[in-house]
Order: sequence, then structure tokens, then C-alpha cells
Amino acid sequence: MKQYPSLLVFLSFCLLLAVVNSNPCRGTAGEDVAAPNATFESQLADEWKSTIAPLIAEHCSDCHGESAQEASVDFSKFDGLASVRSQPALWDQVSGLVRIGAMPPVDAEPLDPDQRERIATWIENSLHRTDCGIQQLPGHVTVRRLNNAEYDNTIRDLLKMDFRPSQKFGFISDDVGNGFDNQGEVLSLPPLLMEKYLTAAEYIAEQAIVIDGNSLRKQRNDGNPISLTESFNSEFEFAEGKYEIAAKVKFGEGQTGAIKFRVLVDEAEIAQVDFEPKEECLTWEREMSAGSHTIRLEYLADPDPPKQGRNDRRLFIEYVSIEGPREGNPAFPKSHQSIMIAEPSEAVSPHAAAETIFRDFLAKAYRRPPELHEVERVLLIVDEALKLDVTFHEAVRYGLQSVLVSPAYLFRIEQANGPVIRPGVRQLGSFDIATRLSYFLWSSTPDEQLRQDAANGKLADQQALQEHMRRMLSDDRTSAIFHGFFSQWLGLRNLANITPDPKIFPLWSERLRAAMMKETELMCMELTRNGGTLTDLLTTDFTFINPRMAELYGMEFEGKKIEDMYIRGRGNPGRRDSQRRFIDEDKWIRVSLPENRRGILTQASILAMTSNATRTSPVKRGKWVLESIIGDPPPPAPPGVPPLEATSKDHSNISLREQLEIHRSNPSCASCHKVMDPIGLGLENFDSIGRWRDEDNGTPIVASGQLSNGSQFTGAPQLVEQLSLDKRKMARHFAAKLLTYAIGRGLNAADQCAIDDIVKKAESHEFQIISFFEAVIQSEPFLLANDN
Amino acid sequence: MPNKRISRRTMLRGAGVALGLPLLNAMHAKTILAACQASAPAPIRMAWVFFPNGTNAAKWLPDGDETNWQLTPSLEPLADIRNDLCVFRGLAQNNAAALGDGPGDHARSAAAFLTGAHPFKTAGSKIRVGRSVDQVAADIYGRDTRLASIELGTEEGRSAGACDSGYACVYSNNISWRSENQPMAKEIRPRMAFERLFGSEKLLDDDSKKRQALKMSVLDSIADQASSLSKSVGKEDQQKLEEYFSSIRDIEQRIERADMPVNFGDQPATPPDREPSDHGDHIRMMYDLMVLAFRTDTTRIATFMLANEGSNQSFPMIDVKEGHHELSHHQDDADKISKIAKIDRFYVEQFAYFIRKLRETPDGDSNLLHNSMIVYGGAISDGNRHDHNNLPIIMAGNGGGNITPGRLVKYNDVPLNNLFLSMLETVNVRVDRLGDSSGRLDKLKV
Repeated sequence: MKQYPSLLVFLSFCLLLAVVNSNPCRGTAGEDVAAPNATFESQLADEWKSTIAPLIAEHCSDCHGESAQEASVDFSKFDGLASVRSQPALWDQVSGLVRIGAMPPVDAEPLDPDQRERIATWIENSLHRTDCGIQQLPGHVTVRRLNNAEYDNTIRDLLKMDFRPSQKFGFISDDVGNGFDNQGEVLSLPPLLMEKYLTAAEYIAEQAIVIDGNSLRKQRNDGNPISLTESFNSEFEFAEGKYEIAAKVKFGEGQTGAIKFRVLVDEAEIAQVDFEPKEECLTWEREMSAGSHTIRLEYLADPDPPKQGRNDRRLFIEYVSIEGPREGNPAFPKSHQSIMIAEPSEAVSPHAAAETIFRDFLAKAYRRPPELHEVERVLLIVDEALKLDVTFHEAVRYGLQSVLVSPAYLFRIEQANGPVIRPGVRQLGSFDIATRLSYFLWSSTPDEQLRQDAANGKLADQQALQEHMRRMLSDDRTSAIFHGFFSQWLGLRNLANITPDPKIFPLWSERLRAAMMKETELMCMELTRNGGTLTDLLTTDFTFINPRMAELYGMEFEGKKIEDMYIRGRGNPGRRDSQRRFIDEDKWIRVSLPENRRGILTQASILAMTSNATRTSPVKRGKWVLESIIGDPPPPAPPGVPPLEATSKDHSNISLREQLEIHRSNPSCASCHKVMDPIGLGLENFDSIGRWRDEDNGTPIVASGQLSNGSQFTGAPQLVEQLSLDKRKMARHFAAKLLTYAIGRGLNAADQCAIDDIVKKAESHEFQIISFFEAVIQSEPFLLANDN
Repeated sequence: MPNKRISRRTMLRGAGVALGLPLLNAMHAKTILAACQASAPAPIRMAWVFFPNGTNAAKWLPDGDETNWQLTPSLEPLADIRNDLCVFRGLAQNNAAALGDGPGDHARSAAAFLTGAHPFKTAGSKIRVGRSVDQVAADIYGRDTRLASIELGTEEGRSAGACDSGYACVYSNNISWRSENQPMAKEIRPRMAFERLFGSEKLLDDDSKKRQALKMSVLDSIADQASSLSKSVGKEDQQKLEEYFSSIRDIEQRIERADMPVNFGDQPATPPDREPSDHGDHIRMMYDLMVLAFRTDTTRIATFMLANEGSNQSFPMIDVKEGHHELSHHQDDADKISKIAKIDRFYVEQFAYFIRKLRETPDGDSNLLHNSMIVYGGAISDGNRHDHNNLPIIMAGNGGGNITPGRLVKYNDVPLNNLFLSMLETVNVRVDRLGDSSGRLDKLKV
């Protein structure tokens, strides 16, 4: 064992202290809420007496006091800090309602904005904050089971097998807590899931390790039908040598004319084929280099333009196969190569070979160097298998199976064995940090470079950690941060559940649903990778479109009219094919937006997700903005309040805006709706699937309005401009969400100090999205653990 | 503790069949049949079928007296099986109410439905409700079959944000709870549910003994590893590893029971070979599996969530385009109310399909329905008001002669769990209390 130079340890310790010192949360106090600090507490108590209680008495107690207790709320029962803290749920609601201006209602004595802020902040501080000047414990992260995405990605990266086991074996969907599906306390492991893990492990082991090498000389992948301009890709692992490549293809019974397709290996064309209606197995010889190569069949031309894109003009690819090499050993799949790094021989016993294999593999699978007894436990299984007279490769399969269902693999169990940095607090071990970083950014296992730097102890160095992050963000695996973090922060997974009425929205299709999501993904990733800010997210003047999105947004695509992008269907040349496909469907380009669209709030994904099946819902849209972007969720509607529909029935001939106004004339509704509705109404120019419109129900749309803080706007672009002004509030909410996702647990009072710090750091970079990521991985909750 | 488990598991090695059970089909039927020719009284089967979002109560809950009552419009599809079921009035699941916890009736009602317990309000940490009646039954009554119980559904868990006003989604997505903080996840894919019951075709080829032994070693090894890990982690983490243990323990029991008789009779069981075409088809495929599981005596206990609580399914097949949950907050809008009634009726039609199928299936000297207790209901009465008393509850079947069906059985605000306690008693599972139960129902048999 190599000893780390003690100087290095000392240096990294100092570096860490430097980081920690910039953070105001330091101390030795107890878990969650620190031992109350006299000043912090007495300030809160004084403020209650001097300011908060009098304000409440003056503005709230007419309806919520001794004489009347509307909604069963009676403020006269609260006489100070302790009593407020005894009912946190109630006071959270009070703070939210007061802050967004929903309370006091319009007919009561109004509070000015400073007073609102004062009350809300006091409540927040009393309930959720602790004195950041005294030292806090970092909070405990419960062991985290790999969620479905993490499981799939981990198998992909660990074994080079990209096939989404969670889908194939129907893993149960992960439970969501604190807004995310990666929270240790919430992810459970019911027997049904354990059964599926066992079945998956058995399958994966069988697929990963090849028992009979000769079986690899012939390999084939099943194909599928492709239409004009489409391609079929098939990847194989080759050894160096001469191969025969074959494809069994079929082109339409009863059709006439020869279609043209070509065959490529990687990007090099090896053949062009004019293919008349028939079924045939075509073969080509080729000298291949070792490694994985993709064989691609591309449908180039159909001589019968009116019929292009029709189902009966498709090219059916039954399979693509390879045979070879003529001489020498065949190529084993990458999974096999990556595991079977040793084979028994005269000099090496099977036990020794297995030991070499599993020492290496366990370090990757368990995301840390394995303990001796952990290796031995796997070897016991291999030995037992060998005793039963199975082949060495098969014996390794059983070992592999046991690894893939072991708790050290399925759970992220942290060792927290870094240096003690203050009493009761340790730094996480460097392998823990590598794992946190990797699952944060990639939802997957650390790669070779991370593992190496973890082993070298380099990850205690902030500089190194930040460099890894930058490196990792440029990798394709980072799209996991969209699917894991952004899509859950924005509630976008609900896009999967909407069902717009196809009669009203003929453009709606499953492809459009997917394209909407893709647009938002490309935007989030672009801004994250290239220095975009939170403000940009709301106000950018560009986006990404494919032809389908261009059609929805009424835009051209690469200078072409959208009609010219349709794949034409049967007979009549003007008619589209039955699936309404586009040429270059999968091509995404960056474009400037027309003046009426700005940022994420005008993206179809968000607009559609917050609409009903047959009409828009300004209320849902407004609520979504408050909840997801601003971080001030309005309280649920009180029971027994007649909703919008009750008014709409009697006034079906008037616009939605007017209906909402009638609805707001009821004071108990007005208090919240006057905050939510203007936001949603400002987006009324976009219909239920995000198309631009000028009128609704025959009535011209008026998208002007006033936010609860008094600022005016005349339409969506100005609305988003106004909303983006409250940067610090947005930043705080975003930071809290990002930290929750990164550490996999709900936040506590001490974490608010870390959030202060993250926001401060991000602010010094104009709230660049990347700066939040940088600050999160420097934060105490991310790097430290309790010293048990 | 862990060591004890391991030694027990080691003893199981002889049991022969491990997880991934070979497919049992008609070819095997005879040999297996031989094992169960002794004519014991037919066992009683129990199922709980849950529907979400409450009802249009005016069109659902029947009025009348015990024997002279009329089927309501929503229950009309049950006309030909009216005499095979009891409809209840006045049963309540009071722990689904707020009790000071504010909004969140949907989450609470799914969580309370079979537990009679009040779920702890949390968005993530410290999830807790109570044990559900099916799992209490499974502990003892489930021992005699290959599977102690099955849990079915049609919808994945919702995966965005909180599910209902600050309640973690797990409450809305599950009705079956193994322990007070561990839900029994449900299988929603018909094909996989079948394989769980009867094994998978792929595993027919078998140089079995050798492989089975090795699979058992794998189980040994991982349990061993979990026990050494749990020594080095904190309390919260131990609870997670305990879940891991208990899941392995359940699997172990499955293996132990893999040789138990499965009675196919002369009808082979074929796995579902297609994806459901729509929500109704999905539900019927799952009902078919329940009939199959009961007929073959593979399990005697089942729960089925027709949809998750708060589900916003639309029903294009009956021309309801809006989401169920959205509609359920109808606020007395006549159009919406009538659509709710349509959905209620749709669900009842599927239930009638299930009940008919049970009745058509011979079992012992009578039929499956006669030997069953099938509860159909939810823990919200009126979807608009979110009330949790006077719940819509039907019980189909004679419970092997322990129940007199064909009646409207009326109570006044009596815990639903009293019905469950009575059901448990019928299968000789004696517990004094379950959730908020206050006794047993006295009017099940006349």
C-alpha cells in the first residue's frame, strides 16, 4: 500500500479549511437546529415584540383574532417565538401568503411591501434558519439505493452495456421525495424490486461474459423497417482481420421501381445498392480494424416521388450480421473484455485469475477499493461454481451476479473517512466525493479519471474537483443532469401525462411531445455548459428547433418553408404521409426567436404541461411560475371555494380573462388569484400546446397586466423580463433545489447557511448556472459528514 | 440476527428451485395435480380492488332496505350478479381525514384504505402509515401458497414533484404496506405479473440442481455482506439495509414454497402475449391474472389498484377526454358530474367482468366466487367533497359460506377496518385490532 505523503494531507487540509472559512456556517452545535445562540434568538424575540406582533395585530386580527377565526386561524394565541415554532406548518403558510401578497386580502388594511418582506423573513428565520455564525453539523445523508436511471447508466458505464435494464425488467418506478427521485430516505427496496434486481443480474451476467468464444464468429443484430432518408445503425465489436458483412433486406411486394440505399462502415461508404422489389441477403467483404464499428444502411432515394414515405415503400431490414475474422481470435464484446482481464493458465490457477478479475471489478462496482473480505466473498462463489464443474467463464458469471445484487453495489454507502476538520465533522472520503460528483452530474458511476484522482487523494483539492466538473460537463453523459435535475425541478416529467384533445390540436402527436422536451433539454444544457445565467433561462432570445417545432412555432427551418419539409404521402403530392413526418426530423438547430417569444416560459413544453386538455389554464401557468421558478408556491385552494368553472358555466360567451375576473370578485379567492392569474394571463397568447394565437373564443387576447408587486407588462416578453428581476429570490430557490438533488436529502436549518453561501458565490458570477454547480460542490453539505 | 437468517437459508438449499421459477404449463399440470387430489374444503380467496378519486355518490350509493334495494346507474353493470354481492353504506376510513394535517386527502385515502392508519405527513423523510390488511393476512394465511400475496396496478408511480399537498408520492401509489414504513410495490405489466406467478419460459432449460445451488450461494453471500455492512453504518442507514434483508427474506420464502402445488386442472395457463390496448383492456388483463392466480391456488391474497389515487387518466373509450382527478373536483357542474358517473360506471363494468369470471370458474364443489371475499372500493366517498365516511364499498362472494350476499348492509359511521377484521377472522387470522378498528361487523351473515 502506498502511503500518501503527509505533507499533501496537510496541504489539502489547509485548502479545505480555506474553503470552509469562506462559509459562515461553522461550529460545534447540534444536529439540524443549533444550540440557540443568545443573540440570534433574542433578536428574533425582540423583533416579534417590536414589529411583527404589532403588524399582525393591526392588519390580520380582524379576521384571524379573538373576535373571528377565519380558516380557523387565530393569531391571538401566539405570544412569541416558541409558540410560533410550535406550529410550523401554519406559519409557513402565513409567510407564503404574506410574501406573495395574497394576504391580507384586498378588502383589509394593506401591508406595504417592506412590511410584507419583514414579516415573511422573520417567520422564515424563526422556523428554518439557524445562526450561521455558529458551527453546524453537516446533516446525514441516508444510504441511497441507485434509482432506475442511475442503475441503467451504471450498468452502461461499468459493463459497456447500453440497454436500460430498468425498462427491460420493469423495475418499479422510483418514489419521489423533496421533489426528486434520488432521495436516500425515500428510495425503498420492496421484495418485488429485489426480485427484479436478481433477475436482471442473472441476465446481465449472461450477456456480459461470453462462454464460447467461437460463437462470436457469427453475430447478428435484428433490424427494422426504414423510410426514405432514414438510416439503420448496427454496432459490432470487431477483431482485426477480414470480415463478411451481410444484411438481409426486403423491399415491398407489389411495388415497382428500384430504390437506392447505401451501406457504410462508420462514415465510409462501402456500397450503393439499387434494389428492386424482392427479399435478398447481400454480403460484402471488408478488412476491419479492431474495435467497435457501426454498420449503417441509409435509404437514399425512391424513384416514385408521389409514393415516398408510404409504409409499403419502406425498406425492411431483417438483420445485419458479421462473420469473421477469417483468421485469429474473434472479438469479445466490450463487457467481456472489461471484466475478463485474467484467464487461468498453467502458471495461474483459476482462483488466482478470478481474484485478479474481481479485485479490479469490485473497485469499479463498489466505487471504492474493496475490503479483502469482500473480494473473498465473491471468490467463494466462483470456487463453489468451479467445484461443480462449470467452466471458468461461467463461474465468473456467478461471481458477477453476486456483485450486481450486493448492497455495496445497489446502495451508495459512504465511508466518510476523510480527515476530521473540526470536532464532530469529517470530510467525506475521496471515493465518496468522486461518487457524489459523478452521480450528481452523470447519474452514473465515476469514470477512470475520477477513480484515479480519488485514489491519489487529489479530490480534496477544490481546484481539481472543479476541473473534473468542467471536464464532465462537456461529456455526453451530462444529459443526465437534465433528466435528473432540470426536468424534475421544472416539473417537466408531467409532460408525459398530458392529453391535449387531438380534434382541437391536430398538430399534437407523440413526436411533438418528445420534441418539446428536447427543446427544453437543449436549452438547459446550452446555458449550463456555456455560461448562461438564470436570467437567460427566462429571457433568452434564441432556442433550438427541429422541423416539427418550427411548424409549431410558425417558423421556417433553415430558410425553407415548413411545407417543404413534409414527407409526402400517398397519391396526391400535396398530402403528407400518414405519420406526418418531416425530412430531417432529428436535426436540431439553434435559431433566434421572434419578438413574441422569450426564454423558457414561452417554450411549448412548459406551456403545454400547464394547460388542460381542451383549453389553457392561466391559473395553472401562474401557479407553476410561482412554484417552480420563484419558489413561492401558493397554498392549495381552500375547500368549498367555487372554482373557475362555476363562473364559466353562466358566462360561457365571455373570454377566459373575464371569467377569471368574475371569479376573483370573491374575496376568498381573490387573495391568491390576484397573484397567480396575471402571470398566466400574460401567457395567454400561447395556446394549450404552445402555439401563438391572437384570439381565444373569437375574443382578441389582451396579455397585458400587473404583477402583485405593481410592475406593469404588455405581453409575454415584458412579463418574463419583470419576473427575471427578482434574481436573488429565484437564485435562492434554484440553489436549494440543486443542493437537494446533489446531496439526496431534504434540507434542514443549517443548510440554509450553505444556501446563503451558494447564492452569494453565484451572484458574484451574475448567477451563471454553472456557478451554482461550482458552489454546490464546494459547499459543506456536499463535502462533509458527521463524524460518528 | 443476520447469522440466524443465513443458517436458515443454508438449510433451504435442498429446496431445489430458486428465483426465476421454471414455467409451469399444461405439460406439467398432471404431475402437479397429483399433489392436490385430497379433497380438502376449497380455500377462501381474498382480494381488495381500489379505485381512485371517489365517486359521484348520488349515482353510486344505493338506497333502500337490506333486501329491497335498487342498483344505482353506476352499479347497473352488476345487475346479473347483484345477488352475489353486498353493498355497504356507512363504513368510514376516518384516518384518511385531515385530522389537523391540512390538504392531501388523495394521498391519505390511498394510504389509509387498507391500513386504517393516519399517514405521517412528509414529502420525503420518515414515511409511516401502518400495516395493511392483505399483508397481515399474508403473514399467516399466505403461507400455504407459492406466493403469499400479489400486488397489481395499472399506473406507474408519478414521478414529478410532490403527489398531493406535501405528501410523498409513495402514499398515493400504494395500498399494500408490508410494514408501517415499507410499501409493497405493485406490478403493472401483465406479462411480468404472470412470470412472477408461474415463472418464465426462458428458464425451462435447466441443468437445475447445479444452478440452483449457485443461486442460493449468491443469496447467502449478499445477505452476509449486508449484515457486515450494517454494523458500520448509522441508524437511518440500518433501516434501509433492514429493508434489503427483509426483501431477501421474502424471496427466500418464495423459494421455499416454489414446490408447492399449483392446480392447473385441465386448463393450461398461457402468458399474456401483448401489451394492453387501453386502460380498460389493461384492467381486464390484470383481472384475468387474478382469476388465474386464484384458480390455480398460486396465491389467495391479492390487491389491485385500478389507478393510483389522484390519477388523472382520461377515458377516450367512453368519450371522457378530461382527466379523472380534474373532473372529480366538479363543484356541482352538471356536465362534469355526469362524466364522473360515466367513469364510475366504466370501472364497475370491469369489476363485473371480474366477478362473472370468478363465478364461471369451478372451484371445489362450487365456484371461485363462492369461495371468495372481493372488496371493491376507495376511501373517498364524494370526489368533490373529499369525505371519508359513507364510503363506496362492495363485497362480492360468499366467503365460502360465511357471508350472505345480495344485500344492502347499512351501518352508521363504522370503521371500514371492522370489515377487514371480520374477513381476517374468516380465514382464521385472529388479530384484535387493525388500524382504527373497533370490532367486527355483525351483519355479514344472516
